[in-house]
Amino acid sequence: MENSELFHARSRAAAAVFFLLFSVIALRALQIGVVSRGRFLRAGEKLSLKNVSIPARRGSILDGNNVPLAWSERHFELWSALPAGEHFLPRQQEKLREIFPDSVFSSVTGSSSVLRLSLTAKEIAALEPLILRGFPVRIRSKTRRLTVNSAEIGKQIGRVRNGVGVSGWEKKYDHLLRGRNGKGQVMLDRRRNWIRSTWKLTASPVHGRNVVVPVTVRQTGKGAGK
Amino acid sequence: MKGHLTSENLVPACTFLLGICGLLTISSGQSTADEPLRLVVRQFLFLAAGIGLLTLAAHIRFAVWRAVAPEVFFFFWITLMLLPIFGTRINGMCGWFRIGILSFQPSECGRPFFLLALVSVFCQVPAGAKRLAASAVLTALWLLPIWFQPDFGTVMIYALAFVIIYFIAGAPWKHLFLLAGTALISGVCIAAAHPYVLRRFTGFLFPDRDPAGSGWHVRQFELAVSRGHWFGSKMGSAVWSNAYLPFSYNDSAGATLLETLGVAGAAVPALLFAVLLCSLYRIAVRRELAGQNRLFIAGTAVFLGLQVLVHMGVNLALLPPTGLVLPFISYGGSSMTGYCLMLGIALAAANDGGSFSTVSSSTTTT
Repeated sequence: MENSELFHARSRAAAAVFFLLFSVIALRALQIGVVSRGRFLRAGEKLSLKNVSIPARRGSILDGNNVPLAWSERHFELWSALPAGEHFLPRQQEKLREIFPDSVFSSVTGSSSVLRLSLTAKEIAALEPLILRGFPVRIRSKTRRLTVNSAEIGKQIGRVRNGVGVSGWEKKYDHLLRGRNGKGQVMLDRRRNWIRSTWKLTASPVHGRNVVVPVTVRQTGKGAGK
Repeated sequence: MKGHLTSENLVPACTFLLGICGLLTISSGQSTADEPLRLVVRQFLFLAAGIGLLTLAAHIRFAVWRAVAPEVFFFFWITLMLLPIFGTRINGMCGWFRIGILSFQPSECGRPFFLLALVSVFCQVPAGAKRLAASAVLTALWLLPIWFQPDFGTVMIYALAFVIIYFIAGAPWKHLFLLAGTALISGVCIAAAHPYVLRRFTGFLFPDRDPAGSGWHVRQFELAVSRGHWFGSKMGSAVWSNAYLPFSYNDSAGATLLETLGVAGAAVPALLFAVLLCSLYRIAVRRELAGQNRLFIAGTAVFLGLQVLVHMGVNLALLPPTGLVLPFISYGGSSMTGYCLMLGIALAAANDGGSFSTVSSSTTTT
């Protein structure tokens, strides 16, 4: 440090190089954030946006006394999201047992196993934070169709189009019952979970209409099945 | 009013305001976490401790710092050497000691004392081969345990800072070429010994060859920054940073900042960094300062400027990922306190132990 002039000259040179490099940084930020933004946004959408179909609720079939003969019920199922051939780790099994004390998950493997049918609201609330942190399970929303389907009711209704009983009504009034599915768009995170704040409804679902059929069914017992 | 806008007063003011920008960034990058405010509260405490440390350090005479530097440098060097035995491994790097709920990173906290030791060598060892050998041995000793953590990003910053400070201190050109050659050979050795370093480099050069693997970070940085546009996304909804960036509050803080504030909004912290670095430069080139004092101040600016450059370079996909934090913005107590302490000692070097206001008024009246 003998030479003060040299120190000043070299400090100025270093400062000039820093200034140049910071200018490059600023220009690059401008390029990504403004100039080429559209290209990056499109690439991001391709990677993260998911188009979602929102199923329309199928209408109910009611008899002359408004007694339901066929109706839809929504429920939530728990599915495994394990990679093929892998099992839940002991600590993962323990987490699941905290929510479902009566179940055993040690033999579950792969991503095509249903772990639970009809989850309760409490169970869904307990599972959600785990899923957001990457726990290998998924909750799937399902709709099941329930019908009154005893042989006696089938006999009373008789043959309708190509079917007998309630299933015949289902076919005959399908155009009224089915409604029209809605559409939505959501961003997925790296683990393919939905990012809720990004949900956008692009078309609302139009639910199916209820149909009142011109018969009154004498109920001798109510059997419900899919 | 003009008397208050001295370089000495701008340094702590900019540090504090940058810390506030950091709190906003961390808050935005953690908005979907289980406890979104946990890191913000902790960072606020780190900032308060850092500003306290800066003020305290600035009020201690620089001669005292120089006197204690060898012992403290040796203490930090020992802690670096003990890391493989007692350290905690985070993300494959054994660079921290965990004490209760706090983590302590010696390579960050010990930086001011490395700089003090380096500056002492530059100012006390006669110019020529002896000075080069002494300073290179000192730097190599300091970097060896960091190399084995392994934390090559930090090694790179130290090595580059060493070369630039040596340049400012008046290094002959042949020494600089020798150091550049050594750096090149070291880089090749690192890439050969650690294939992941080479993967990062190829991922940076050709991100589309492996977009879900080695090219992932590079692409995600670009996508996050592009969402910021001019004025950023709504505060607290840096969606891309939250969902896709690794360590959005820390290693990727630059991209989170740009997504949150946008290019125009990020001009505020950029301006604060510029004022901070210019203030240090203006202090360093004052004629009345002794060689060791001004070299320490210049060295502080070099370390700070380099780390900001490399961090932003990585977050703007101009450099391969290194895992370096953005000073005062990224989450982390070691980095915050380490840099605040360094700035405090730099102010002590400027004041030579006097209080801010006394020196400010004396410098403005002389």
